Amino acid sequence: MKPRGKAHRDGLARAILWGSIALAGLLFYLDTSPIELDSDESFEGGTSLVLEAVSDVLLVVDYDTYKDEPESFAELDFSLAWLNTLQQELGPIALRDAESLADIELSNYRLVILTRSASGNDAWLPKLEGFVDRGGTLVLEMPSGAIRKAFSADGQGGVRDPQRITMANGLATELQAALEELPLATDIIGSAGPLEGAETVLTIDGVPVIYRKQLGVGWAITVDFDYGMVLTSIQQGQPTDGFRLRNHRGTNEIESSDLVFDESLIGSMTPIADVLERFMVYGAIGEVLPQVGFWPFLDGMDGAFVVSHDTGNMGDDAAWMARYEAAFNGSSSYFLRTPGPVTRAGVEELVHLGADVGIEWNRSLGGGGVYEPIGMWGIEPVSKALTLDDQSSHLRSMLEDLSPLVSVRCRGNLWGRDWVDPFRAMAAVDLRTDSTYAAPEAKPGYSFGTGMPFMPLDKTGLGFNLLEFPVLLIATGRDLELSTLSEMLRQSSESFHEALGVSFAPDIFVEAPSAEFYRTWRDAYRFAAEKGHWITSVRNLYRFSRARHNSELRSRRSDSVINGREVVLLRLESLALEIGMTVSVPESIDEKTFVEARRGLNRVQGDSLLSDQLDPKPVSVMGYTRVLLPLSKGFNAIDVVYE
Amino acid sequence: MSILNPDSLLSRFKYDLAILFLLTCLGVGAWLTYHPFSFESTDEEAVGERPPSVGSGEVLLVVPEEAQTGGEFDELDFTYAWYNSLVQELGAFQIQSTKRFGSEDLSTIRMVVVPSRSAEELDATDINQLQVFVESGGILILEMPSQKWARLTGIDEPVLMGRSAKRITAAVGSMLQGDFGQHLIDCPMNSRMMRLDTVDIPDFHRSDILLEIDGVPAHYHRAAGQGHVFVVAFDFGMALTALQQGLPGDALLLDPLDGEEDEDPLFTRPERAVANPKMRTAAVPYADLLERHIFYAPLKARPSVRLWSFPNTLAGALVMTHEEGGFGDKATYMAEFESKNRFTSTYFVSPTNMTNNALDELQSHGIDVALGWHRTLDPIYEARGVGRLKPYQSALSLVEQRERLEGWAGRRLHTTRSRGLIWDRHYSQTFRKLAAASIYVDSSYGPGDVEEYGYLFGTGLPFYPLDDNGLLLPILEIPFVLSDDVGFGPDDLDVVDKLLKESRSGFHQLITVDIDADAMARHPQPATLDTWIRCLEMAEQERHWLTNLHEFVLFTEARRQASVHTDFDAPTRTLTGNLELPSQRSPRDDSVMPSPGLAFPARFEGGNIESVILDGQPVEPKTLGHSGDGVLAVLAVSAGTHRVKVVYGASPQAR
Repeated sequence: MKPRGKAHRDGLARAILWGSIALAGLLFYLDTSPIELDSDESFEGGTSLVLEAVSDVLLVVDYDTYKDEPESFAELDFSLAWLNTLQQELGPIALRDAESLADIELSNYRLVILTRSASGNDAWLPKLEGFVDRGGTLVLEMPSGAIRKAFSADGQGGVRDPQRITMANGLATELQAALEELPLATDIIGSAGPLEGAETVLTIDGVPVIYRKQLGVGWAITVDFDYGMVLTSIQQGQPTDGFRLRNHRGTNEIESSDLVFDESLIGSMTPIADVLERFMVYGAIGEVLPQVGFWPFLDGMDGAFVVSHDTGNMGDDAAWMARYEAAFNGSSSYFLRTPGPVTRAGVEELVHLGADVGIEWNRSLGGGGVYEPIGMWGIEPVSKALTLDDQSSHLRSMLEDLSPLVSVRCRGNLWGRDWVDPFRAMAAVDLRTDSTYAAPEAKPGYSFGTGMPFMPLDKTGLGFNLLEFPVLLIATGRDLELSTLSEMLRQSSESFHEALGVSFAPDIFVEAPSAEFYRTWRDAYRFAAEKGHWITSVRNLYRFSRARHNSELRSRRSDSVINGREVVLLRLESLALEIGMTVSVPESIDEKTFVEARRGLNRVQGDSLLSDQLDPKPVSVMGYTRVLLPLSKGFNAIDVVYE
Repeated sequence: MSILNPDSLLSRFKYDLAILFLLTCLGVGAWLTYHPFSFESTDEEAVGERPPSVGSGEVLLVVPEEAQTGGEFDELDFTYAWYNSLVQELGAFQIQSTKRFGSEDLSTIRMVVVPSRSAEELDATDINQLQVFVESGGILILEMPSQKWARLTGIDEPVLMGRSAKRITAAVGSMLQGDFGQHLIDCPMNSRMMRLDTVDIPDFHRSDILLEIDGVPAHYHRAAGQGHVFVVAFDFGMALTALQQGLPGDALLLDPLDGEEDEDPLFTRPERAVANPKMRTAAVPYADLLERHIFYAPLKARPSVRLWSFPNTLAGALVMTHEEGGFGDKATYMAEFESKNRFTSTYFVSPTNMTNNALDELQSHGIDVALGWHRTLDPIYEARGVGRLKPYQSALSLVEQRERLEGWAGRRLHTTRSRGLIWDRHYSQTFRKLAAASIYVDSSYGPGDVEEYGYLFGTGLPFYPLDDNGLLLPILEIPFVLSDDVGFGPDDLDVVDKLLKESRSGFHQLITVDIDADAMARHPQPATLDTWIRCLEMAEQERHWLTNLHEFVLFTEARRQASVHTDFDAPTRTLTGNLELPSQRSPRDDSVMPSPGLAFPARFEGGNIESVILDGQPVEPKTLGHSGDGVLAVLAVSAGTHRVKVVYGASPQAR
């Protein structure tokens, strides 16, 4: 063989040999450190909600005025934020699109609220005037045109950027002071002067922005600032242009605590959003129209202690906290990483113990993510990130018929750069609750102005079909955690009546063990029980809230004479869809105070009308005194007597 | 095919092959670095030795001149079990061998203890001297004496030796009465005894029968002149050793673990030596009750002052221990909590897991750092090789582990626990290894199987283990009574509450608890941390000294070094004690540790204490502490020289 030919073959052999070795080496390397491919999440946006509830309250939103693609937070329509307030405080709310207003019989309602989107249609004026004339209460948010002319101040000051709330009539002093400290993200409408004959309820920068005037037998209450924008900015956070979020901590990833509207809210012990909401419902509106609603908590308890656990890399052993909770009929939410170390048996045990099994969404942020290896013949050089859909499907297959999967939390509370993309992904896979919004670990408190669940808005202004349950404290065993919790429970029991979301990680003893954490965990339940709080899970509170929203409640007020005494009678008719529901009524109406409440006329025996006297429980909700009356599941007819 | 032939394949590819060879070597080297060859270690062994005579007391223990080696349990020489008893019950005493025994030894002595082998070795001259001693007012405790002791025992004919003593059947004459007496009767018994029912002892009716075993008198008292003889007619040393150190099988081997596949495994756990199944869940310290029965008896005849086992008048002590168990620096979280609440504990630390800073932190918290000994089934390897290539590893021996941890901790360490409670099957082999490695305290005896708790070894107090040569190994074993590894007893029993309360009300124990630092990471449950915190909080409530192993051993050693001499004047019913208590500093904070209380009979011949004078100052009798069994009164004193005078009222019969 010629030397040249031999050299050529040697070269070829050498190339094959070293090429094979290099390829084997590369495959071996990739098998241990595979190439990670990202996946695209599925998204589903917010929806135009319409609620056909049997209720005293009608909320009107005009979806036609919504922009298709707002480019910034300020361009959004926040009308649906009113739904959060009303459902949170009262329960069932009828919500209709403005296009159907002409067909709605307003006399079925005692309170009609025209949001900013729906308060400018002149054609509705006669209907609205008639409603108020007949004794209805009308709330108008930033009205315009003929409606403004009929019910509100002249608005000649135009739309302005406000600074601070300067007066809140009737609100407890310390809460008023807290409101005055709050920076505002909203618009206000100024006028040349106050509306004649109107009573000012709230001022911003000295300008009356909530004022009410009696017209005929009814009332017109004008809200001359974008109430929904204020509320949404506090609860859901305010993004920058393009709905992007800014990282305030200078780290690589954005956590939910980066969504906090203002630094002053971090570590705050006052649920400022709820202060504003309750001022609106019980103060601005409630002082002229007694408000009746379903109490937010089971069995009339003073609040809820909503416990959650991130299992992390802990397997079935993570159930140790649930076992303890089950011993006193408490429950909690467990967020499992999936695919992960918890087995089917572990999931079964959690469900059997009464825990709400949710998913910890392991996102490809901050070095996290769950990857599915791809390869063949035992070599897997590539891995693909599992989406929320993939992860939730995996958990759903483990849960099977044991329990529905409704709850989610993002791992490490990582949110990402977009204001609402995580909500869109959650909605796309039919998850109904999220509790990623959390106070910073070192600074527990009402960072999002509330502990109560709220419906987040999409960047179209439409609402997601899920509720966000904020976490107020992530326990790590730091000093003062227990005392902070204790103080929160005390305040909630006496005044705030909150859902206190608290997270205790069952795997803390693996990574950062702390005896103080253990004491906080153990004592927290005891404190919660002592302070009359419902120890429960996210899903249980969600189910109860949904039942509350879907139940029926109507009330009628009349003046009467009973046994020669002039009384005010508040007649309630309700359909309670859950056991343990309670109705909340004012403690006083028109200077008459609560005397008794009787469950309707159930039986007739001879000449007597028999009825059960209900056991009332007085409560103070941020200074607004209320009375709670227990309901039976099903239909309830109740007469509340004020004398 | 030759490499020298330029046309050969080998020659043409020689560089490729060389590189391939090099890569293969590197690959094998890298693989071996992750899967190295392993070599085990061996630990040297010490042998039992005669313990030193320290301290100065009025009690003398006579020991045989030469040790006797045994190959089976019943062939062992149990003389030094008496040594353990005297350390626990009295504190200060002296030792003398039979060969050197003479009357000059008795000049300052009030009580002589002669175990059975010593009783055999002492000759007629010695016996005469002892007779004079007794008749002049001394007290003699004799274990299984032969016929040559007839003048003192009243037994002047040979007595059959029973090979087994099965159960205590009566304790009417015991100073332990009520529940304590019943517990004494329930004490498991593994011993042999003199069959006194087979001989005719003419003046036996003058003797007080203090204990019966299998229906036969096994312990009786006999007055002789002005003194008293207490004949222990069963092998007390054997009974005690079986309880405390355990009962081995044939050839002094402990049983293997249940489910062990190897037919003849090398290792087991100490709880395989538990003498009786009922002791696996025993809340009664049977060994200590037996000891107290023996050493309370002379107090009925003649009061004396002895040293209480705990500081001042405290009812007992509690030691919390934690195994670091590979948890590393995270394990310090328990120490932080303990320090914050002014508690302490002992940490058994693996020699390679904790950083210097963490060890310093433990010390700053006043924690006693000890060695978590990694043995064969769970070894620590040291990788060996060149540079980053380490193809083989060797297990660190006990000495190497101790030295490594001492290097990190910056101080001498004395205490161990075997991780996983891995224990050699031979009865004393592990103790020999510990002693050879200059370890002075071990705490591996304790519950090792699920649902076990309590005094598995009849005591919570420290004892020296016996070697097969009949001598003691210079290491104190301190059993633990509760462990998170096996649970805390049945769900319907609050074991912590029971152990502490019953210790306070009569058992007076050192309660050592094992809660692993990584327990909540491995198998989390609230009971683990609840038990931990409750033990610490309840200890003070139940008047138990919260201490650590090192501190308790130092206290015991100081107690052992005290000097105790008493005198009793029968006509005036006055007991006088002259004592010197050495001062000892706590290793935690270098403060002076409290001294043991002084214990003396709470009553004598039915008469209560009328007055107590300490160093010339009266002490109100109502302020005295008491042992829960009602036998002893306890007076708190500080270190130094003291003189105490106790006057007893007249006996009710005399009035």
